[in-house]
Amino acid sequence: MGDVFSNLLTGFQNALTLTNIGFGFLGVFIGTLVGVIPGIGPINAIALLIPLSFGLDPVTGLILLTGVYYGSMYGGSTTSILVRTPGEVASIVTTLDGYEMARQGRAGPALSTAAIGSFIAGTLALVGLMFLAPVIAKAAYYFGSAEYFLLIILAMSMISSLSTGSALKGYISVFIGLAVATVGIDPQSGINRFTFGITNLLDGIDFILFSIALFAIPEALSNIGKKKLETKMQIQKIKGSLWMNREDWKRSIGPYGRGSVLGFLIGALPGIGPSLASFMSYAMEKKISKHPEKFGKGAIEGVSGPEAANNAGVGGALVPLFTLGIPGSATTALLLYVFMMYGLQPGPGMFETNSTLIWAIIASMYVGNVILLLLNLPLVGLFASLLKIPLVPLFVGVLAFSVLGVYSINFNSFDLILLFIFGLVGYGMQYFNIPLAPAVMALVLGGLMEENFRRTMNISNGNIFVFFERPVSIALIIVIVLVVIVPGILSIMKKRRQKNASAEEGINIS
Amino acid sequence: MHKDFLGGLLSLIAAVIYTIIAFQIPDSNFATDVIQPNVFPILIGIAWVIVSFLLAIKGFLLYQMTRKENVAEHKARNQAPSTEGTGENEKQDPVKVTVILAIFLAYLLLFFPLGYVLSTILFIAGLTIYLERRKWKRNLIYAIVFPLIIYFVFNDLLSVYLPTGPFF
Repeated sequence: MGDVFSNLLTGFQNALTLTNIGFGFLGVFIGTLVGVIPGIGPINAIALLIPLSFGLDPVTGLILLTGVYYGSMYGGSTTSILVRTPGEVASIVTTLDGYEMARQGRAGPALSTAAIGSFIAGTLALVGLMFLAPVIAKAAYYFGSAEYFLLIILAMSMISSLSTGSALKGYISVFIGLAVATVGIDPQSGINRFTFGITNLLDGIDFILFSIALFAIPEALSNIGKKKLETKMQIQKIKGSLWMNREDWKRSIGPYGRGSVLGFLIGALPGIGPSLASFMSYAMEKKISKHPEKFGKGAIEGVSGPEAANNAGVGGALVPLFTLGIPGSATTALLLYVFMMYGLQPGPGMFETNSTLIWAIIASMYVGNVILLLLNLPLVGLFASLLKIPLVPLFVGVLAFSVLGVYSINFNSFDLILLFIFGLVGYGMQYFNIPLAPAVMALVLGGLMEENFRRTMNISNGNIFVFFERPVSIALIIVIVLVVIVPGILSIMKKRRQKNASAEEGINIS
Repeated sequence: MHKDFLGGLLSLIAAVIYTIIAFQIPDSNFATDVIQPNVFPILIGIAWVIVSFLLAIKGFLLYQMTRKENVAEHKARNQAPSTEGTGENEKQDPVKVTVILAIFLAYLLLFFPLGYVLSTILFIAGLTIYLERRKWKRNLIYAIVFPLIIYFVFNDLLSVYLPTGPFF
């Protein structure tokens, strides 16, 4: 206990320097902006900012980039409520009741409850992170290479089968990412793989390049490549008071608490980010509500719960990242890459070797959440007006920015060609509804996965049954099998039920 | 054709090519290595082939089913119905996408020869005016202001030097 507080105190001392507050502010501000603007999510923003953060101290750079991450969760709800266009995935479910509230002239309370819920949950999740992470880090010391290998597989099967529409497409995405990860010199034998004699490929495909190509380019391309360009959006006006009344508070408190706990726990599972947390919170609030029929018609619980959950999910997602070095989502995969870029390897050892850095980031998140609350409520009108940015200049600017971002990685023209090729790949994947996030996660984890696989095999002298020898690894295998099989069974059962009942179609949120 | 079938098929082709190349990766020079450098890629390749194949089959079966169920309705439509597409991707204009890609590729190729400022002005002006011709004034101003600001910020504030062309 005492440890945590003294660590946190040191963290605050590091986070509260002028530079770090400045960059923390910049991070959450940019995060809010990209959260508000549909089509530019935290992933694009972080990918494009990484080259800029090369020049910063690790602490400052990481404070900036994590700020973008949780800041975007705040911004995403604004657009969900005012235009029914979620700024990022985790806010999709907020559109259901948030937009309805805005249409009934209650945009103010909807925005307030989203911001306050985000703040409460974001802060509570940090408390959870502080206490849970060191414990897991200690437990992870006992993980061998076999357990690591299985844990990575678990993370990948979770992201493919749970967080996307079709598991098969999720797996295809994972294998595309893993295949890209094998390009370059094999670090263990020095043999060239998939390099085709091109020297530029010896170092492998750069992760930032791949993420920019997969996220920024297809998004920009599909937005300006539409037959009819959308030029105007219908924005609901904020009428009346911004503040919630006594009744709103009373109805929001419960969802805040439940959303925080649920969001944190789900976010902490490897391979699952905050988006699933917000869906589950909505489902839970609807189930336990005395008036489930009011959901979808402007129930404030349908805003406060999911918004709390997705922000708590951010804190949760940092647990496996800090302690195991395994990201819970594409965005945390980018953060993992940033750690590695600064020469830090997230994992069990990091809480010991780089505790100052970790605690400075945690402390900066407390500060950032306060800034976000102060920033978001008074300025919500300003952020909403961002939605009037014309789309063509916006997305053409995104394309120009992505070229700039890729240029500043290695300063060579070969990378620009790779950007084009992988941009096409990403556009194709998006066209066929193949999710992009699993590929990005697979690329960042691919090297680690192979390394642990080969180490395990070397120790056991090629005996594959080594994975079944220890209780932890057997447990992991069982969970993996469940994750792979259960969603399939559920969807078959759903189809049967649909066949039996009349073809009544529900809202397909995924 | 059903979208899943086509997507699965393309993925299958890529996976097969990847796997074939994976089998040709030479062995390690170290005799102590239990796992050769080609093992992991081969495993990935085979798994990728399997899931692609399954998706293609699923797409094919869905296509057969929808065809049997409503032949008449299907004939009326030009495009195959998609299972879970939210309709966003359907509205893509192939000509427009091709032109955008061509302009983008030209930008990437001219980035170094012409320098950052000039190539970016041409790219933004060309693309925005192609997409919204009527707002050419706004687009032109944007095309000139954007690269100049970026150039200043990167070169002078961040010391990330952008390529200069024949002029500046």
